[in-house]
Amino acid sequence: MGGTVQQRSVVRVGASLIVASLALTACGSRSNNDNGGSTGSTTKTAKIGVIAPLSGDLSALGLGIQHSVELAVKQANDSNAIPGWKLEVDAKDDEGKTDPGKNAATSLAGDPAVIGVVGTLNTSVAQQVQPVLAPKNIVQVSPANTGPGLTQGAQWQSDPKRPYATYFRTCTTDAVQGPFAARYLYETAKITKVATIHDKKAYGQGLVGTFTEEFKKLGGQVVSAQTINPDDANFQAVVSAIKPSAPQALYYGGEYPKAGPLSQQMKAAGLNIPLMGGDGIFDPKYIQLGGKTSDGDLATSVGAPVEALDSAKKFVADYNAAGYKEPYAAYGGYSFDAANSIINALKVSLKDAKDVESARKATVDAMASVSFDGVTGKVAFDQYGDTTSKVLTVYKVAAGKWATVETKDFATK
Amino acid sequence: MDQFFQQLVNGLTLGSLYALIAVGYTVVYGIVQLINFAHGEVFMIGAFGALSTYLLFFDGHTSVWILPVMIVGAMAASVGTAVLMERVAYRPLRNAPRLAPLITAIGISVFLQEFIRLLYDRPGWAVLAMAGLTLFAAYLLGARFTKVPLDHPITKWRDRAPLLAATVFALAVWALLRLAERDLSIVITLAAIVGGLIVGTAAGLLFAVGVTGTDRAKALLQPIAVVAVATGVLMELGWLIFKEIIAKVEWPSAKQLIPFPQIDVVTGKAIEIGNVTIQRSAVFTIFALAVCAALLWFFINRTRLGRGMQAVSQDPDTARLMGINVDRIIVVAFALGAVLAAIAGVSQGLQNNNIDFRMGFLAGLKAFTAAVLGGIGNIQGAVVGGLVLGVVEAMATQYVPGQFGGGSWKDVWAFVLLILVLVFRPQGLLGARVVDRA
Repeated sequence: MGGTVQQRSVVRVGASLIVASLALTACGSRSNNDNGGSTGSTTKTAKIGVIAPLSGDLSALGLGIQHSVELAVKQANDSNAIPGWKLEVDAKDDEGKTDPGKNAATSLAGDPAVIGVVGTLNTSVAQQVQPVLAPKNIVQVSPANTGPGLTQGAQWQSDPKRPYATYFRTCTTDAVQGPFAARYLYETAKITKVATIHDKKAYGQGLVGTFTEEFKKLGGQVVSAQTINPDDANFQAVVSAIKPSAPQALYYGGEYPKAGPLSQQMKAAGLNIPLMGGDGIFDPKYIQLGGKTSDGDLATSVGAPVEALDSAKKFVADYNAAGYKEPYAAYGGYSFDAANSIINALKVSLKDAKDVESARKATVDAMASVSFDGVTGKVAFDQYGDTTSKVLTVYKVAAGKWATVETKDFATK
Repeated sequence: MDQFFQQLVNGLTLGSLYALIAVGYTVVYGIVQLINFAHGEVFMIGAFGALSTYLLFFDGHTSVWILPVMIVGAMAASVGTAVLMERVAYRPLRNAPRLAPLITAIGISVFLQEFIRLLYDRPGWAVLAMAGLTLFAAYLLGARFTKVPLDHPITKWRDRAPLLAATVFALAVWALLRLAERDLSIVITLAAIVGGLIVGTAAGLLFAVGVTGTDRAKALLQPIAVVAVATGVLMELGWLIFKEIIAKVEWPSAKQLIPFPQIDVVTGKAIEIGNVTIQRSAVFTIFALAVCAALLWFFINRTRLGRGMQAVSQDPDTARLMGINVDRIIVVAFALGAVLAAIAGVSQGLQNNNIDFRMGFLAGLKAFTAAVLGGIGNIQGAVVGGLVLGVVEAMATQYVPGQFGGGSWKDVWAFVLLILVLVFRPQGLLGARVVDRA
């Protein structure tokens, strides 16, 4: 009896495996036919790379970037935006670290079919990626790098100079974001004494730097300036260090995996002041890690809230309809716009090109004149490759959710 | 002055955590002269055990009576891991050169980290882990029914083959049936057990006849049947638990930090004494260390098993001649360390409000430092070493001025202290100078 039971199940398993594999191959061949048939002639393939953290602490943001680019490319293919060409997404994981980021860039640069790259998330990773992509004339558009030096050089405050002509971004920079937060705290929230903490990474350090400068200029006082290690999980020491100086708010430069626990531990230690951060902490995961006491914490983020704009509603609906497992997260809108800016440039550069490599230079040139209405507002680039839009928003945690406080166009004083 | 007391409280909290983990290093070292470098992972698994218990049974609740259950869950996970680790990674290497267990320890440590990370991302893999445990448990059960001493040094692999074959084949029958029909139904359940029994016993007997002859096979019939039935029953039980409980929980991804549950009384608003704030979780940690230290002292000095441990740590060979089961004492030492590490895991979760699969590494390294600081092999020394280390770390972040001060240098001081102690007092703060036997 045992034998028959076993035999029958072997047959069933085997049969279902065969059916499954048939179904898979059938799927594959059909979709190939579709693509071939729709254009009628031979289609050439161009790849848009993605470099973002697809694993690790920041993967929630990175996967949002990847899927948003996939959505943009899928829509371009469906509408046959570039006749004769089919676009593909090639996503590489940088783990939010410089070395894997550099490897990802090298492997994309070695692929003759890659025409552009969306990424990275971290400014520090972009610093490694830029010099790899630039010599090959591969255009790079970042949805999330906010380090001012990437577009305007190391001396961006005194002597702005564009280091790489291939680099663009759809988000505003720390040169705007830090001061924007400083003005909100000093002018709107009437806070005069703050403490600052950053995680010693390029993003956090830059944010705290520009914040401090503007806050002092306005007349405020930075009573304590501390740092934490990127691998810390216990922040008691640093909280005890800033507590005696009695700040009214804490400005944090860094991302949500550290900011959430920091907020929680700060309040558990009896320091009941709001924590404010940049776009790196503007994520639902921040509230999850910060717990109930994170109510009242603040964040600035680039652009207007994605849900509020009319142009964004279609993106949100399309994204949800596409059924990706992960949400579009903080940079979904910017990634979608970044991918579309490349696609818009390709409409010009790929039209008469015979292969991808010969069209790369023309794509970079075409980026300068890209201008369209994107998810996050008007998408266009200035002479440095920065977005021309300077709109930012302040968000506040209320009842376990990020709520919009104010959206403003940042004006240089 | 307030600042001084504040840092003292912070330091003692941190130190209690280190001390709880350090005891695990020291107990094991005292008995087998082995540094269990995977002990940091036992601590990490304790924290994940507590979190899993919470997610399985109490998701969304915050009342304080959950905490003891979480601690029991943490202990079960930690002790299970430590005992299993001892059995598969250290016991076979008992008489090997000292370098061998060290290398296994590092391997085990990486394995455990990746195991937790993958298990949380793909809970379905729990079934594979269950299959492994079932094989092991069924084999142990079957071994009890044999008259052949399977643990004897002269036992060959082929002596164990019939029992192993029986469980493997019973497991294969189970797997095939469940691949075809995943839902729990009484018919399939019975078929898996009965089919496993028949196929497993047949395979086991075949092996027995093949390798040892017919007489031996007759004597092995009962244990083989027991093993085959046990495999089927345990696997079905595991599958029931998986289907009804584990598969219904939404597991957070372990790629990122996982928030640790908030429990009334031990987390929440801090207690203020003057200008010194004491977190509730800090009180819990210090209290836990005090209770554990007292119980440990009682266990080591007043119970039979504890005195057995002392005897083995002084001279294992003579202890064995006196009728002490050294193997059992070693398992107890591992388990004891794991119990304390589990409590430390829960404490750290409550303090930091988040855990991740890498948390064992640095904590383990610091606790090892604490154990060496106090004099490795000396339990009081581990507690003192942990507390000293915590206080030094907290004070250094506060009082070292300028460029080298502040939170970012805090990990440096532990190791500076370690080097100083090794140079000037190599036996540790409370350790006695011993002649190295090796």
